[in-house]
Amino acid sequence: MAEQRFQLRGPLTAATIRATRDALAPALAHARTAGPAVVDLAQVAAVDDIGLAQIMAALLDARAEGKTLRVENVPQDVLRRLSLLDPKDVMAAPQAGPRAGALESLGDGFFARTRDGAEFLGIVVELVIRLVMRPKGLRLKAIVEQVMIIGVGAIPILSLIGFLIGVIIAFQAAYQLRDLGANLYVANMVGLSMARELSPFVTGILVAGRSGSAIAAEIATMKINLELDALRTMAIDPTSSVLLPRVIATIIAVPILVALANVLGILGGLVIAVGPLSLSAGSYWDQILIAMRPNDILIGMLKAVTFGIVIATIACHKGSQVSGGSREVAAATTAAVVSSIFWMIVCDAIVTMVFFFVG
Amino acid sequence: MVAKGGQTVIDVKDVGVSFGDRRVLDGITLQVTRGEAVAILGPSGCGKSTLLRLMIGLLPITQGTISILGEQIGSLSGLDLEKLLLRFGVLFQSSALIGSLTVGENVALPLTEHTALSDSAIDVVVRMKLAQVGLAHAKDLRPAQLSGGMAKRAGLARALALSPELLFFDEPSAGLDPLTALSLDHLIVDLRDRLGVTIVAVTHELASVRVFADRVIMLRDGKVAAHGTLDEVAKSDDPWVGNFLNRTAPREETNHQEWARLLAANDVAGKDGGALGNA
Ligand SMILES: Nc1ncnc2c1ncn2[C@@H]1O[C@H](COP(=O)(O)OP(=O)(O)O)[C@@H](O)[C@H]1O
Ligand SMILES: [Mg+2]
Repeated sequence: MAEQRFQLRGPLTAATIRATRDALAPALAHARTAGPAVVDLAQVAAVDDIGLAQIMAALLDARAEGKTLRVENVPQDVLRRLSLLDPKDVMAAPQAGPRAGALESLGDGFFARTRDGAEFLGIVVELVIRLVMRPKGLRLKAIVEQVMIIGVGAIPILSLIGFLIGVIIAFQAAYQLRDLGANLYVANMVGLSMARELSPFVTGILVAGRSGSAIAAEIATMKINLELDALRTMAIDPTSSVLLPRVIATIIAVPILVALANVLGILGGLVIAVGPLSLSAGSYWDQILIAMRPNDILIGMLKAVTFGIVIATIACHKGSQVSGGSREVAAATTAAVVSSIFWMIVCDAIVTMVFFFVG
Repeated sequence: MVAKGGQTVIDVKDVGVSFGDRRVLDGITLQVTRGEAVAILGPSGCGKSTLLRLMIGLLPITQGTISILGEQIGSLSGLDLEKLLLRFGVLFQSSALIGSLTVGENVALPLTEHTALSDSAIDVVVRMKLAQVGLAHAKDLRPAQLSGGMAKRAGLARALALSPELLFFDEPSAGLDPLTALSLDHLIVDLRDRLGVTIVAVTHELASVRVFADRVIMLRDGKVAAHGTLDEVAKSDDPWVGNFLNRTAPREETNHQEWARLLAANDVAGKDGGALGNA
């Protein structure tokens, strides 16, 4: 079969990308459908790296399909530039890269999640083992320090939030109860909603945002700065000395904060009760005592402990997963917060349902 | 790779590592004798840090064996591993100081964790170690407030806290200005000469090697390319070694005709680039 010769003209540069492409198209089409094609560069004025890349791409495309497209009369200056490069580096077969189908990526997602879950369990098991072993790397001082940061540090904002939520519930309750002349039952609504649901939930979200993110970011940063490796070479176990104090402190701090939110929520309700609702403080308080049973406090505390575990373990997991750079730290921080809020809601629903049926 | 006389403190035998299907280290065998300063020299990405991480127990050993101070580092755990870890110190390339602690607290860390020293005794040791590296004034600074050279010194003070017999360095002078780098190199020489510490430093800085190394082991593509004193290595038959030492890197120019032939090739290229040359 006779070769068809395609004479390219003019400059082949970054400024003439379209023209170059249009000039190469017939040659490539010929190679694909008719027979061998020769691209002749004898007449071209200037070729820069962009023009050269277009020519080489056409050549590699054709070859990848088993067709022949040859390039002749390459200008001397182009060859001189090329001679600095190793053909192996440049003339690799074009990236075939078939995109994964939807089903496959679904499978990938599933496996990634499974692996993620397994890694999470691994960290939890490691934490439990270390806790049971009472490692000497675990210092009371470190736990106290973290309780200060995670618990005490959250007191001002949490007090305010708890108080306002008490106010809101009181108003919402009064809105429905005043027509029935049952304003006193505002106390029931405030006490029960706070203790059973809203205090743990709001505290959980606050701690996830304040401390879950901080824990994940700190561990991730320590990991990419090789601080965790440095600890290991000093025979200091990072799980015992870095992760465990934070987990224990979170589990201690959340229930205390929940108790505080309960108190301030009830106080918020009291302010509305004695103010706009014209109840006496005494009757509000008596009604609170009548309405709330130990179980209501207990279920809230159970949620609090659960949320503490969820927040701290997820933060440790997301933080320790990081291996790249600063962008991964940011992603881990976000993931720690989002994922712990999601799992807190799941746990909340389970605990609530179990207690609805059991007691 | 066999050192002359003396007690062998590091014995690496036929060690290999792959990440995925990339072979990073392949059949590395080397020995280090007590009291010498050895440089593991090679271009960036040749696997120096990986070899170091294997020796200090941060990477599992999948092929070969590594014995550090007479113990198989890959097979120890618990208290045995702890005992071995306390006998050597490591200075990481990034210094890896704990960011939430002051310099003094960083140096104190191994002491509070592993000794029964009183707080005031620990304070004295910290001052001594910081003075040893010329950082006495920086005790209360945070790692973020240190320059690169100061951070390396602080990391070195921490590595020295428990008076180790053996010190590992990853790129001790990389990223420092020449004078700061030189002062660090002199510090390494001092540690060897005055304290008798055995030194293993991974580096790509030839200037540093000239200052502190008794012996160099050159790595290339995951293999030992040459070993011996700098003078011995310089006489190596391997032209690459000579080029590395003389900082001459002749461009591997493929000649014009080769490229012209490639572009005008009639046949379909093989799957790998190697077949291209046979056009
Ligand atoms: N954890 C890892 N996972 C995958 N590849 C790695 C890992 N660590 C190092 N590598 C690769 O191994 C090679 C050698 O790395 P390294 O030992 O850091 O080189 P050097 O310290 O000599 O510059 C590099 O190509 C690097 O990309
Ligand atoms: Mg390195």
